[in-house]
Amino acid sequence: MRKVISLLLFSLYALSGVTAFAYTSPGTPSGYVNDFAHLLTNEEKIALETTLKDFHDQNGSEIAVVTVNTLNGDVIENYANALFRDWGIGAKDKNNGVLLLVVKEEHRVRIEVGYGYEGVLTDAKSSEIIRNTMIPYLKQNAYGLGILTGAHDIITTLTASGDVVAIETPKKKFQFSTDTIFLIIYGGFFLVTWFASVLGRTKEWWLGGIAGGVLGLIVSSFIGFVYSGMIAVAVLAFLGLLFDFIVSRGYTQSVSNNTNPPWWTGGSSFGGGSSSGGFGGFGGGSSGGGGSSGSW
Amino acid sequence: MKKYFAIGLIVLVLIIVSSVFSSYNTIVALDQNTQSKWSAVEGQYQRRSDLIPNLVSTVKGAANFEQSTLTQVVEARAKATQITVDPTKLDAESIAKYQSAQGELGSALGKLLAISENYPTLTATENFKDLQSQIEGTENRIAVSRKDFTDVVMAYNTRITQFPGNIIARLFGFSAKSYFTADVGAAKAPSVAF
Repeated sequence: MRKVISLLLFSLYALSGVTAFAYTSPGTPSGYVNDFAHLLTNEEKIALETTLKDFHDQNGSEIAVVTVNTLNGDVIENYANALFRDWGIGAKDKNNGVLLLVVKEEHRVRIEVGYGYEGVLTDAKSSEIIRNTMIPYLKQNAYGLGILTGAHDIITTLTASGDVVAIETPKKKFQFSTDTIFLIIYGGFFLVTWFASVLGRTKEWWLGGIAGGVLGLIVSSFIGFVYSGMIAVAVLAFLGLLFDFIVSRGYTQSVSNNTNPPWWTGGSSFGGGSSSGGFGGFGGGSSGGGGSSGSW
Repeated sequence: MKKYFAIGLIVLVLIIVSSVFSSYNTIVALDQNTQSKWSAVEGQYQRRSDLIPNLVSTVKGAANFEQSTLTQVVEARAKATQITVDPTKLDAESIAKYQSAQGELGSALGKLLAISENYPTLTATENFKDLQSQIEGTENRIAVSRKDFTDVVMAYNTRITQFPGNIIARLFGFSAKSYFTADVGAAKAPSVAF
C-alpha cells in the first residue's frame, strides 16, 4: 500500500508543473564513493573505491556511490537527478554515468542512470537490483553489504551488455591536443606575419583597427552574447589599431623585427593531464531521470 | 579630424551590427533548443504510451480484473496519441490540449496500478514488477523532460522580452512560447483508488 501511495504522490508530482524542490548539494565529490552518511566501514570504502576506479580505467564509465543522511523533504527522484547533473557523473559526450544513492533516514535507495546507459541498465533491471539484491541487506541494516553487492550488480550488468568498450589510451588524446595547439600557434604566426607585412606597408595605422573590428564581429557572432560581443569588437579593434601602429612604425627598419610579438610565443599554459594521482572530478555527464527507486 | 569621426562612425556601426547578429543568433539557438526539448518531452510520453499494451495484456491475465479501469486506460491512450503539438509554434492552446489528454491517461494509469494492488497474485509476478518499475521510471523521465523544457522556454521568453532581444524578436517574428502549467485534473487523481 505504501508503494501505491508513493506512486500516486509521484504521478501527482510528475503531472504538476511544480518541480522546485529544495535540493541542496551534499558537498563536492572526493572520489567515486562519497559516504556522507557514514554507512560504510573504512575497508568497505577502500574496496569499493578501488573497484569503481578500476572499472573507470577499463572503459571510462563513472559509477558514483553516494550516501546521505536525509533528503530534507525532497523526493529521491528529484534529489538524485539534481545531484547527478550537479556533479556531472559520466563523460560529457557519452553520458556513461550511474549514480547509486542511499538515504539513511528516509530509508530510500535509487539507481539513477545516465542517458548513455539507459538501454543497458534499464528501469526494470535497476529495480531488480534494488529489490532483489540490495533491499534484503538494507532491511537488516547491513548497509555495507547492500551497497557493495548493488554496485557489483551494476558493474556486472554494464559489463555483460558489451556496450562498455575499452577506451582509447590517454596518451593518444594528449597527442591530439598538442597537435591542435601547434597548428593554432603555427597558423597564428603565419597570420601575424602576413598582417604585419600588409598593414606595415600601408604606413597608415587605422586599417588595423577596422580589421580588428571585423574580426571582433566574426568572433561575436560565434560567441552569441550581446555584451561580450560588443567587448570583443571594441577590444579587437583597439588591438588592431595598436598592432598596426607598431608594425607601421617598425616597417622602415625591417619586417622581420615584428614577427615575434611576445604574447603569442607562449601557448604552454594548457592544463597537464591529471590522470595519475587523485580523483579529478566527474566528466560532466547528464541524466534524464532513468533508473529506479526503492525503499526498505 | 574628419578621419577620426569616420573611424568612430565605422566602429559604432560595427558594434550595432554585431549586437544585432549575436542577439539574433542567441534567440535562434534558444528557439532550436525549445524544439529539441519539446521532442524529448514527446518522446517520453510516447515511451509511456508504448508500455500500455503490455501492461494491459498482463493485467488482463489476472482473474476477473475490473474491466472498466482497463477500458479507461485504453481509451485515454487512444485519445492522447491523436493530439500532437507543432514544435515550431508551441502555442498555449495546443500545449494545454496535449497536457490535458496526457494528464487523463496518467490518472487512468495511476488508477489501474492502484487497483492492481488488490490482486496480490498479479503484483507478485516479476513481469508485473518490471512493468511497474518501467512505468514509474517513465513518469520520472516525463517529469525531468518537462522541467528541462520549461526551463528553456522560460529562458527563451525572457530573452525575447528583454532589450535588445525584444526588438530583434519583433523584427524577425519570434513570439513567446507556452509551457506546462500545474494540472487541475491531477489533483483529483489520488482520491480515486482506496
